Amino acid sequence: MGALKEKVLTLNVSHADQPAIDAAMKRGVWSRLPKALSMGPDALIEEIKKSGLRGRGGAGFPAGVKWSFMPKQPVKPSYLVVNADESEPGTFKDRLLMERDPHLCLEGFLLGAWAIRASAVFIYIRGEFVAGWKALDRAIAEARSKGFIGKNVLKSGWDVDVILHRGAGAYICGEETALMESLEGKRGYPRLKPPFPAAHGVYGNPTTINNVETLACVPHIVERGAEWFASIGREKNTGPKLYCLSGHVKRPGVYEAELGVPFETLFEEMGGGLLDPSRRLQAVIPGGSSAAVMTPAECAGLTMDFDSLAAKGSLLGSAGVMIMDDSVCMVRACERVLKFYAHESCGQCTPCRIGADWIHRIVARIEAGGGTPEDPGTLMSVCDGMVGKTICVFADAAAIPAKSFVTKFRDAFDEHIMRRACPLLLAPAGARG
Amino acid sequence: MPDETPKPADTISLTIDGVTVSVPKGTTVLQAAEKAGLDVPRYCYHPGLTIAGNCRICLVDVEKMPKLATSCTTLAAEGMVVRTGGEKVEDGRRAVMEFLLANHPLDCPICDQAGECRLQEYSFQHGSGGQRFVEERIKGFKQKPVGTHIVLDTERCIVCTRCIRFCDEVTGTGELGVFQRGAFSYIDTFPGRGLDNPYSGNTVDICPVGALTLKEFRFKKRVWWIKDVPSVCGSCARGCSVNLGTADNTIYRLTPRENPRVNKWWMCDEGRLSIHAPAPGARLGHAMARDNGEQAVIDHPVALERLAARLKAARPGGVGIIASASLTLEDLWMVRRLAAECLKDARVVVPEVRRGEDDAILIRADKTANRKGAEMLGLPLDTGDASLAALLEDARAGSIEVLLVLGHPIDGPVKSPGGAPFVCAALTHAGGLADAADLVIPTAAYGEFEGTWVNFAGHAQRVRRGLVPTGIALDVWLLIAELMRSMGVPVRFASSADVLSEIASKCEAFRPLAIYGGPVKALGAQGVTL
Repeated sequence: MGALKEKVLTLNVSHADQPAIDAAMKRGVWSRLPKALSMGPDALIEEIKKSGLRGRGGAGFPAGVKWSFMPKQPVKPSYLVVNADESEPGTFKDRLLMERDPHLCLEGFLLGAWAIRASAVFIYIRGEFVAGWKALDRAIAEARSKGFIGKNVLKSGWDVDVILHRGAGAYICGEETALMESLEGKRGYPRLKPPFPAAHGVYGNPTTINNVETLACVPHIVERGAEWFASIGREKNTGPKLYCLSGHVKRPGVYEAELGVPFETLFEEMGGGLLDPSRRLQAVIPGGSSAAVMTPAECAGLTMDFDSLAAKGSLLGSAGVMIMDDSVCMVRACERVLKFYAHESCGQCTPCRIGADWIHRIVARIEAGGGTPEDPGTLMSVCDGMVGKTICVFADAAAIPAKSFVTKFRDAFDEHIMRRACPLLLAPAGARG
Repeated sequence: MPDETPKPADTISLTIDGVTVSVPKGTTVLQAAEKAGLDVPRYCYHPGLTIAGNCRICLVDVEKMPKLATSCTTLAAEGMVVRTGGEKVEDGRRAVMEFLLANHPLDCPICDQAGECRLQEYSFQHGSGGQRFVEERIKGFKQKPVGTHIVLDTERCIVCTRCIRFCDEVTGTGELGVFQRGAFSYIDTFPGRGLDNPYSGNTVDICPVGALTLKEFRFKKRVWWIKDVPSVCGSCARGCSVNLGTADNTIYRLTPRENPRVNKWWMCDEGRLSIHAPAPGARLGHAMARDNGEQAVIDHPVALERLAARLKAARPGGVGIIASASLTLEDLWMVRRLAAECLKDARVVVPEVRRGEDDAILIRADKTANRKGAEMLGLPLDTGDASLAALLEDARAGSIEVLLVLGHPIDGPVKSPGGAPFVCAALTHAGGLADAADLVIPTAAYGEFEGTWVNFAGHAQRVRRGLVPTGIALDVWLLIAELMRSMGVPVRFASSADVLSEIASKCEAFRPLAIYGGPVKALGAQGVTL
């Protein structure tokens, strides 16, 4: 198992004309909307539940269950928010879908909106995704002209509008409630929960928020059925999944595979193995930089799905798989990851505001040769002061990888401290590869 | 034994540190802990503002919850078991304290908040006592004037956002916001705006640290020398409950005192800064008489004798009394008694002082403290300045023989070309009428007198003395009592409380104050709505 018999989400991404609605429709896009409209929202939710589709944004929450939290007899308008603020370092799968197959994405958004009887879809797209934004903007206009968006969609009596909103460059605005604040024009601070978005979301109305890839799966489930979807992948980890391969790998890129593809298949067969075969694999970040780093030993026999990675103390997250060979200084890598979190902490909660900056500065000092023997211990304890003590999970996303770097690559930290410099910088020229 | 009393559906019972408390549904764990008599530390939580949940110091351990929970954001639930202490909780709080102090300048020796700073308090209670943060501290603004009265130090700030929420939610003016991100987050006014709303001083009160300070108070006094005397603000008819911050026989600051029926937690800047306003002239400390064209100091008993003689000699209708509506109930009661028992057809006026408009928060256009009290005592209120104007016109026409002015300085001439009337000014400060008067008797100023004020809504509160009066300055009620004795009416009160007891026993409107223990006890700390 591992490789798909046929591509699903990325089937049409190589066709240059796919972003145009006529070409997309010729290849079957938008054919699932009428079917879903005739099924009705409740049957659609049931179908998605049966398929086992889990959210592709990182947390892996079952999409159908999430939809079923929405009020059945709403007194206020319901909204679907599409989280297209793909900002997790090492992740670039939604970008591909939006740029290369915007109509598939949009059809998925509409199906999701129908399932929760939403009157509006807000697409919150990362500001830097200019090509994706242009592609979606055009797709929305085309879909509107065909009657897929607007009043009385395909004479079903359902009115829905789609609003495309560009973010302004904050990682935290990918956190669902910070995204909603930002969408409302406020500072992107995560909200206190409860109330949860299904009760009190955008503008205080019931809201469901889904990742682009999650919603892009929905048209295929409607077309081919829940059983087909559930037959792909592993138990409780079903369907096709996009993996983003980057770092010291021969063929970096987005790969579609079964959810639960073995790490070896993904890395060796699909990615072509290490960029420089004379090197040794040193570390893997399996799910975007928020995931705990893993050693090659931990990756042996590993299947890349939500539950297997959680069992190993890491995360599938956004499936941003970063490969590091032995030319990488692990302290430097840790410093780079933490610099990102120090920069992106929204600053709302004390432990994260100060902690994210503090742990970065400790590691930066160690890398620069100013570390002391107390530093690793202090770093671990500062991380403990952050984990689970904040409004959102950003603090965990910074502290957990930091702890994993120190725990799993302690020798590198100790060597930096002992030699008062980065050993790789001390090495003779040419030896660093 | 099972509880026999049926429990209302909207009440919840929970256990906090072994104490079972019942609270209404919707109460947070922090509020429930307060009810159980426990003090959970807090920075961002303020009962008058929405819940932010950002400081994380109020962490508690809730049974069956995997992580520590912030007690300010967690709703109490039936059967919940909460621990506000213990190793896990203290570890969490110690971490929060360490984070808050990492970039903090620790300039406590020169910080105005020192002594009433929650960083100090919670460091003492929950901190580690050590310092592991060895990185370079992040710099911020020091001493940045963000408003006419407010100075900001972002290095001391812990970004709890209380001040922002105050300006968003209470005044609705929204001058403040958070700028930048993460550890570089700081609070400031939005470009082109100043923190100049009429309630800006409250941001200083609610700031749990020394980030926001009041220009008029900073560097004036270490707070541990200040003694807070509970009293009432006299700047308008709202009568906000305040504390007089006194030391060295001076009021250094006025701060609001929580009173849900009057001012909640707030007061306006005009009231707060009233004690810093420049006086019209020098403080009067001695009686003075104009004998040969010049005012000269005379003995107080002599001054009273002279006034008594003038009043006795006046024909019926020849005495005018102008009594400020900011005098206490006790003062005004004695004005009423003086007019009724010692004078014939005296013309008493309680002038109106209005400025601006009532606002939707606290400020009243009526700038007197006790107009409602005067009305309840049945004193003739001056409406639209008519009767005050008439009285002054008659005085200038020479038809008034003696004009007694109590606490209400009047501008402009009051005398007729013939020199009448004889003007006695019982005031606090020189200047204006005091300089023009024939007889000047000093009275106790704000902070020096004691008594009762009734606000516009009929809420009576006790005004307390925080200062030793200047010179021989007396409370007006005492001055009039002495004057009446000089005129042969035997009045004797040991204190203003005695006067209030008489008011409560003789005046129907104040009957609710006539309880066992006396009216002062009835008024308590927060007053009584009559």
